Amino acid sequence: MNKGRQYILNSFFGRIILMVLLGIGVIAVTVSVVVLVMSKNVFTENYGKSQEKVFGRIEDELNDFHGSLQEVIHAIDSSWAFRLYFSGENNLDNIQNFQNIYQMEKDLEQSKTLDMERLNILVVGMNGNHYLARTETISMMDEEILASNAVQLAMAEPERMHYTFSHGAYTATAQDTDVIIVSKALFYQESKEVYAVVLVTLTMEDMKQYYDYFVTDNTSFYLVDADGIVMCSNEEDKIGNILEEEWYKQAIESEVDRFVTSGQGKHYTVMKRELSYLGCELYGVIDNNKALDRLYNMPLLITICAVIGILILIVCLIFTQQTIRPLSQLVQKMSKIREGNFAEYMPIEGTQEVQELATTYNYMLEDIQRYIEQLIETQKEQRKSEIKALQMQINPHYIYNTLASIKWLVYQNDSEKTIQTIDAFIKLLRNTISNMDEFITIEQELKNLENYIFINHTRYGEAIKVEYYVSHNCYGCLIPKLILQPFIENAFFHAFPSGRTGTIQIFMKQKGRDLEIRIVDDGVGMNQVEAQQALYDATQKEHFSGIGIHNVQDRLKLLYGESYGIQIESVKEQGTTITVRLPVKRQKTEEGKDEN
Amino acid sequence: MKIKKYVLLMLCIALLSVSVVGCTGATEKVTEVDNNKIVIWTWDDTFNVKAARMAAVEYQKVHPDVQIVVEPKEREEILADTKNILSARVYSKLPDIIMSEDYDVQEVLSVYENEFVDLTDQVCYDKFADYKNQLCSKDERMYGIPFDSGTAALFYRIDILNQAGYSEEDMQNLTWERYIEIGRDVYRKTGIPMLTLDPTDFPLIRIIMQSCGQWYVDKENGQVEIQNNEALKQALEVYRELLETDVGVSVNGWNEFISSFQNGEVATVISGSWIISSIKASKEQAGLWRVAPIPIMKQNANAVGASNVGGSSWYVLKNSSCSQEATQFLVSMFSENDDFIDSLISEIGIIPAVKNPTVFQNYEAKEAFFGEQQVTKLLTGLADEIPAVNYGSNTYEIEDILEDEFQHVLVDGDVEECLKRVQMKAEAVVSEKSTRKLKKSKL
Repeated sequence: MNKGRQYILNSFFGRIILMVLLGIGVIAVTVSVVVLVMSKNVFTENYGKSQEKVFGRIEDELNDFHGSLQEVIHAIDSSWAFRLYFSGENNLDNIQNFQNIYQMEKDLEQSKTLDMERLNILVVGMNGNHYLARTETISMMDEEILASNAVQLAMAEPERMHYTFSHGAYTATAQDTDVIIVSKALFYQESKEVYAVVLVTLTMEDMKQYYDYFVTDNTSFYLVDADGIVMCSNEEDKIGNILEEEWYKQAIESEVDRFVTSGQGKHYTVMKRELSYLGCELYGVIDNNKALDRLYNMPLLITICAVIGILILIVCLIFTQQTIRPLSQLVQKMSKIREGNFAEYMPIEGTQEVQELATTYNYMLEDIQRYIEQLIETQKEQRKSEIKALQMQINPHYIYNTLASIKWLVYQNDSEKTIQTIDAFIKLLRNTISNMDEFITIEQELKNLENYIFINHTRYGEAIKVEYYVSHNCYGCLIPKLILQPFIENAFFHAFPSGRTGTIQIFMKQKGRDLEIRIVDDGVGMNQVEAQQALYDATQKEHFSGIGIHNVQDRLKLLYGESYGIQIESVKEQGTTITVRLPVKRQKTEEGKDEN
Repeated sequence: MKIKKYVLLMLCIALLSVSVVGCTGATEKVTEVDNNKIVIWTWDDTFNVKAARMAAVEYQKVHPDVQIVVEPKEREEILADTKNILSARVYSKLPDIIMSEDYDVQEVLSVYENEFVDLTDQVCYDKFADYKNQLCSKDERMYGIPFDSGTAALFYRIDILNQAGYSEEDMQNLTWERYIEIGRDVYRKTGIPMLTLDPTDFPLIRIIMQSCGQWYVDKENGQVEIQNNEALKQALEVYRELLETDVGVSVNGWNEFISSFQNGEVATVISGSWIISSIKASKEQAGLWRVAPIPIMKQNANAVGASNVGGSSWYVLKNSSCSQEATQFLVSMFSENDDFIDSLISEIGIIPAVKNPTVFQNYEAKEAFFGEQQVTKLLTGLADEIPAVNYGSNTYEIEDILEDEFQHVLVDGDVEECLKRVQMKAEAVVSEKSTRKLKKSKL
């Protein structure tokens, strides 16, 4: 039973779990894929656009910075103090020199914007003078400085400012770091003769302020000079090298400012600007995959789907368990019916369908029960009428034998006894056959018994005495007709074999609501097993009527229920006691009479 | 009813998951901080930077897991960058240790309260010189570890002076008159000036002023004291005379100041003891240098032959990424480790700012570079005589004004008038700063 229920639960739950998981999985995957694909394109486009604006700011700021630098250099170029200091014929005396140096400082200070406060400016004159407005020392020899790439470029093209990448610059603090050197030659307007070179050293740290706001872990920035060397980038290992990446090759050829490219499983949005003042190109690269990664936190998405899935599953399980609980109850009750228990009704609960099912089931159960009851009732009735028919039959042998006995009395000329016997016989027959009532009073029954015993005495002699001890209030009680006769008959023929004398005593008394009738003989008796058999043995030959001991038991149980019936106690050579129990019933009309 | 309950439950789940997403979306990645990387900002390759690098090597022998990065920067740059970062509170960019010149410290300590690690209980300050301790402290709490003393001295080229007929004895117990006299003679005979003068930096003025026990501000309450500053007036007179007599040659910036004596273009250097490392950088001049006390301002009754210029101390920034480790590093190397300081004496010629320098083995060492002179012993001896002054917190700002006004002195020669104008402008600067500070503290 339990196994069967388990099976139903298992298969039911198993299917629900499977379907829910499948459903959630399909929904999650489909929605995610659709949303991802759709938004990926939108995002790439929008993110690219917005980043392009930020990227444009770098361009503006670098151009602004270039402008400011130009102003500083112009201030140096147009300062008479600087001119004097760097011109070949320096005829100033010590004090004039002192004043001149101070003036140079002032001129430069005025031209610097606020953010250039600590700009590393070195001016190297062709006359061997230097100007370095910092509390540090120059770490290179003049020849080395003049031979450096930045100075050479400035000398070759004195009109414009040059941006050169270099590892290590001229001053102590910048001698070991990657720097961008801005160089510009100062020259006399007429002769075009270069008299000094301005060298502005920008460390990578200085440059950071121009691109820092653009750079994230998915966007990078590259400032590439005309030779393709990275001058400045947030990717430190790329600085000073030539870019090998696929996107860079495409970017060089590309005409547009922004394009999307992919290679080696990566998607990039590349932005490009020409910085013509600086002679450089500016690249901004967005790693779209990384950017999207941040947008779509895949592990989080999966976790959320899983958590929601599990929660829904739990709810489904609880829900279905509650829904099918009436069903499993039904299954349990149905198996009880197989055992014959028809009183197991279903409680009406659960969903509409289940409620209907339970109602119908209960109706069915009721019907079946009713039919079975009817059947039993019918069978009972049948049995009763059978017994009734039996009790109205008089065994023909009994009649023959009795008539034979009477004939014998006639032969003896004992006319008085003959008349008495025939009278008793007539009364017996009348009460047995003609009286259609099933129940008769004990008084009547006793009369029948007397008649029967009288006939028996006539037939077999008077060796067996019968004594009656009936309490007074019992006479009016109703008992089934011929209920005692079979026991007397039995005692006559079996308790006293071969002419043995003895007594049969009949006690009747009311015991509570029950009537107790005991038939006690002092005959041969029998053992208990034989006694029990006697109750059910139907093979006795010479019965008075169709009713034998075996029928009495049936009859009592049919009439009064299981708690009533016959008991036999017998001890060998001592006698047998038969106790009949039945409820007290009185004739209604004669009730008052009986009381008296 | 039951259906409703389930619908409600489902809604709850949906709400819950949405809030989960919301929450996780809100939590941002915490930027990774390298917890074992100490960043030090300092200046001067031959001196402070070298000392810091030596300390890093020593420290890493015991603590190999600690990374120490020394970033050489310009002195003004360190100050400016630190102030910028502290003002903007972008602590991620903050170095762990900075070196600060003693003139700058008070301003930084007062403006950026609670930004520096309080070292009062971690360092035994009894060993350091009192005047130095006072410079590192604010409201009786100690914030810095004193490094070098900055004791001023007269470094001179004995070969050039010999050429002009002067000996080592002539350079002892000098007055400024005598110094100028010798200088004129040397210039006339050799064409080499005595010293360099930078119009944008007046360390000489500071040296003379402090040797007389005075400063731009008065000792008691930090009020600007320029107009009636006898020592300053005398210093400016000397300065002008040095220029006029070509004893002091005009140079342009720090670079020329260093390169001129390294290239043998001047006969003397009057500067702090920290300059020794730069002097010794020209190895070909070994044995040609001598050290003597600075000239005395004879006209001033308080004048002594000892003064101080520069000198600096180490500070740990409280909100840096690695400040605890940095504090441990500083304390163990620069305050407790006498052996290490001893090695600094021999390597960079530091004059430690301690009360009792005799604990160092190199205290009496003879310097071959300086003609077997006991340089450390001599300079630490001088340190005891340095008159204590109050640097205030505006030294360089006042000096900027002075430099500007001094240009006029060169034209009209009126020192009194110059001081009067400087007094006026300096008072404006100081009061402006103090009101700004007041506003800040009110906020």
